[in-house]
Amino acid sequence: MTDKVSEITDLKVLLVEDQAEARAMMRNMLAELGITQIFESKDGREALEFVDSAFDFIDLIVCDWNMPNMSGVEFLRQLRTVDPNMPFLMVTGRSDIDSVAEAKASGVTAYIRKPFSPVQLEAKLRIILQRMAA
Amino acid sequence: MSLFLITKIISFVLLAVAVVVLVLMRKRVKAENKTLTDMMDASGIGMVLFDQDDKIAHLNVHAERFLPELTAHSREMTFSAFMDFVFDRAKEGEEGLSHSIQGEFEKSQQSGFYDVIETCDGRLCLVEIGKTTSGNHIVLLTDLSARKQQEERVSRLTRSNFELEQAVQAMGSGIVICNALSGEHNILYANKAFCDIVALPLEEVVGQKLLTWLKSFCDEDQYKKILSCIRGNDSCDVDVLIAKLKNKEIWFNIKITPITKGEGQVVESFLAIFTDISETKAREATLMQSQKLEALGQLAAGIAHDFNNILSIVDGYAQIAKRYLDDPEKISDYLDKIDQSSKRGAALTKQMLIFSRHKIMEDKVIDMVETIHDQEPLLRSILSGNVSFTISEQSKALPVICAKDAMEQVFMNLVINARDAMPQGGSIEVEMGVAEPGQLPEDMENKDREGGYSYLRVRDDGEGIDEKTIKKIFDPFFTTKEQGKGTGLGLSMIYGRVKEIGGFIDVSSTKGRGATFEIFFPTSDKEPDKVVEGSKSDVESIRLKGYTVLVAEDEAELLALVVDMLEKMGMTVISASNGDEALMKQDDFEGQIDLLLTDVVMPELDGVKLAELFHSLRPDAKIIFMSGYPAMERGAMHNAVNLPKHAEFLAKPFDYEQLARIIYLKLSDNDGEGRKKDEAMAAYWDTND
Repeated sequence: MTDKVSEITDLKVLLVEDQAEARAMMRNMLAELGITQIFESKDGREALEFVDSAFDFIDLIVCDWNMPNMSGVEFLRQLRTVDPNMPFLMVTGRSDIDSVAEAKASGVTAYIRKPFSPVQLEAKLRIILQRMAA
Repeated sequence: MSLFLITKIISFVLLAVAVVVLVLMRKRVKAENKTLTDMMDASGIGMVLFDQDDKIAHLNVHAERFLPELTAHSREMTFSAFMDFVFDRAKEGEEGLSHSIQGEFEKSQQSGFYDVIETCDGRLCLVEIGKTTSGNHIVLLTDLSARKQQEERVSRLTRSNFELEQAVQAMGSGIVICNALSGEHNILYANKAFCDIVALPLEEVVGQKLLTWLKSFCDEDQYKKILSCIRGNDSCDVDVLIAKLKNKEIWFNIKITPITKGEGQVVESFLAIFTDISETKAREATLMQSQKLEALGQLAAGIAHDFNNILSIVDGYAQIAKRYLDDPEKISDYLDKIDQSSKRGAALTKQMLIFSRHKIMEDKVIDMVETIHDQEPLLRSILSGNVSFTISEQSKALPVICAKDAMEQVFMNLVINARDAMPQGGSIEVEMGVAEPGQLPEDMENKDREGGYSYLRVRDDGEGIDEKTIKKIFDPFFTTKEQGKGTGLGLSMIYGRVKEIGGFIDVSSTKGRGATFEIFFPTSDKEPDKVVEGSKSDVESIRLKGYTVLVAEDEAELLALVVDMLEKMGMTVISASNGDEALMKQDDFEGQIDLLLTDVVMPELDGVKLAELFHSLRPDAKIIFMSGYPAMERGAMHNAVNLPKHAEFLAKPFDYEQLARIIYLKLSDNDGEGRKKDEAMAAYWDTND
C-alpha cells in the first residue's frame, strides 16, 4: 500500500478482468470518479505476479468474480496468503446470497454487484477508504 | 250265614283292595313318569318312555318333534323295533363328533348305549338309551345341530386363518397390525416382508412403537397426517422418503386402515402397509427432468430471440451514431435509445435469474395490501391515459407468505398483460381480500391448508382469451404476442413462482369480454414483519416496531438525544457521527435499513452526498434530512448545501412530537404525498448521475 490515501481520486487501482470491453468500461467509470492511476491485468495469475513485484504501487484491487483460468475467489485466497491487508473490491455478477457469503468469508473488503452505477461505485470506494484508514 | 257267602265277601274285598292298590301303583308310576316327563319337557330333550311290556308308553313333545315318524306308530312300536329304527338312521362319518361326546359320556353313568342319528329334517340327534328306576327302558334324544355348527365354524376359521396367514406372509409389501387403543400403537403382528424392511427379527419387531419409527422417517406434515388418521380411525396414504442413497432415493408408500369388527364396534387395531415405490418415484423424476429440459430448450430459444432484438437495436444505433459525431443532439438521442434497450436487457436478465432460482430465499411474511399499493405509481406510469386503474382491498392488511420481489414481479406481469389486452384502452381492476373456501378453484392442491388463502385479482375488460388458448396459457414459452413483442416468459414464470411459494393461479375469461386472473397466496398467521402503530394525532402512541433507522449527526449531544427519541419510538437505531461512518456502518449492517435520518451539514461527507450514496446502495430506504434551511444553521458552513428538490426535511431545533410525526408519516405510507416525494427525489438523483 502507498502512503495514506485521503481521497478517492488518490487511489491507485489494479483492475483484474478478463474481458477487454468490461475492463474498458470499468476504466471509464473509475475515470469518471477522478481515478486515473489504473493498472490492468487480464487474469489472476498475471495479477499475482504484479502484486508480488509491485505491491507498494497499488492501494486497491478491483477484481471480477467470474473469470476463466483463475476465478476471483481463488485469486483472492492466494493473494491473502501473501498480503492479508490489501484492500479488495469484488465485482460480482451473481445475485444469490451464497456468493456474497463466500466473498466475505474469503476476505474481501467490499463487494459490488453488476450492473452498478458510478454512484454506487463511489459509495463503495468511500467505504473502502474508511476501512483502510481504520 | 253260610260259609260260601263269607268266602265270596272276603274275595270281593280282596279284589277291591287289589284294584285299589293297582290303581294306586299305576298312579304312582304315572306320577313318577310325569315328574320325569316334566323334567324332560323343560330341558328340551326328547324322551321316549317304554312300559314293562317294552311298548312305547310315552313320547314327550320334543321326541315328537325330533322324530315325527315315530308318533304315527308309537303305540305299536316295541323297544326292539325302536332300536332298529335308530340303527337305520345312524349317521356315518360323524366320528369326530361322537368321540367328543363319548368322552363326556364316559364320565356320566346313566346310559348304557348311545349313537348319533340324523333325523328326517336333517337334524343331528344324540340317542341315549337307559333304564329308569322302575326298570323300564327310556330313550333320550338331544339335538346336536347347534353344537355341530359351532364346531364347523371353528374348523373353518382355523383353516381360513391358516390360508390367510400364508397369503399375508407371502406378500411383498410389509404388513403390520398395531394396537389402536394404546397411545403407543405398538406392533401386534408383522409379516416377513416388514421384518425384512426394517432388518429385524420378528421377536424384536413385535411390541415396538410404530409411531416412534415413523417419526424418524416422515416430515412434520406427514407425521401429523398419519397421527390424526390413526386417532380418527380413518384411512390414509402417504409417500415417505426413507433414505437418500448415492444414486437413488428410497421411497415407501404407507397405507393405514383401521380394522373394524362391525357396526358400532370399537376399533381395536389398525393395519399399516408399507410398499416400496422407489422405482416409481425414480421414473417420475426422470420424466419430470426430461420435461424440464424440453421446456428449458424452448425458453432458451425465446430468450436468445429477445436478446438478439436488443442487441441489434444497440448495434444499430451505435452504428448510426458514428455517422453523426458532429451532432450532439442526435447522438444524445441515439444514446438514450441504447440506454433504454440495455435496460430492457437488464430487466430480462433479472427475470430469468428469478425464474431459475429453485428456492425462495426467505419465507418472508409480507403485507399484500402494502406491497401492491407500493407498485401503483410505477404501474400508473406505464399505463396510458385511456386505461383506468383501480386497486381495492377488503381488509386493511393481508399478511401472506411470499417473497416481496416475487409478488411484485407477478403483479407487474399481470397488469402488463392486462394492458396489452386492451390496445384501445379500458379498465383494469385490482382486488384483494381473504379467500372464502368456496372461492378456491376445483383443481387447487392443498385447499384446506391451515390458515387459508388470500386472493389477488386482476381483472381487465380487454379482448379476453378463447377456450383453446386458456388451456395453454401457462405453458412456458407460449405467447399470443407477435414476434418481437414479448417472450411469453411472463405467465409461465408467474405460474412457477406462485407454485413455489405454495400458492395457486387461476384464470377465467370469455373471448371478447375480458379476463380475470386470480392468484391465491397462503395466508400467514404471523404479523407482517414490521408494524406501525399509533396515529398521527396521538403522538405518544406511535410505535415503529421492527423498523431500523440510520442516524448521522456530527454534534454528539444532539446525536445522543435523537437516538433516545428514536429508541423511544421502538425503532432499532444505528448511529454515526459523520457521513463516512454512516456509510461504513450501513455496509456492515446485514439487515434492511428503512430510514436514513441525516444532518445536512457535516464535515468531509455532507448529508446530501451521503444520502445520494446511501440511496444508490439501499434504494428502498426512506430519507429525512435534519435542517431544511441551511441558512438557519449554526452559521458554521462554508458551502451552501442544496437539498434535492422534494426532499423531506425536519427543521432544527425540533422536539419529539415533530420527529415522531414526520417519521410516522414517512414510514406508514398512508400518505401518498410522501411516496410521490420519494420517487421524485430518487428520479432527481438518477437523472443527475
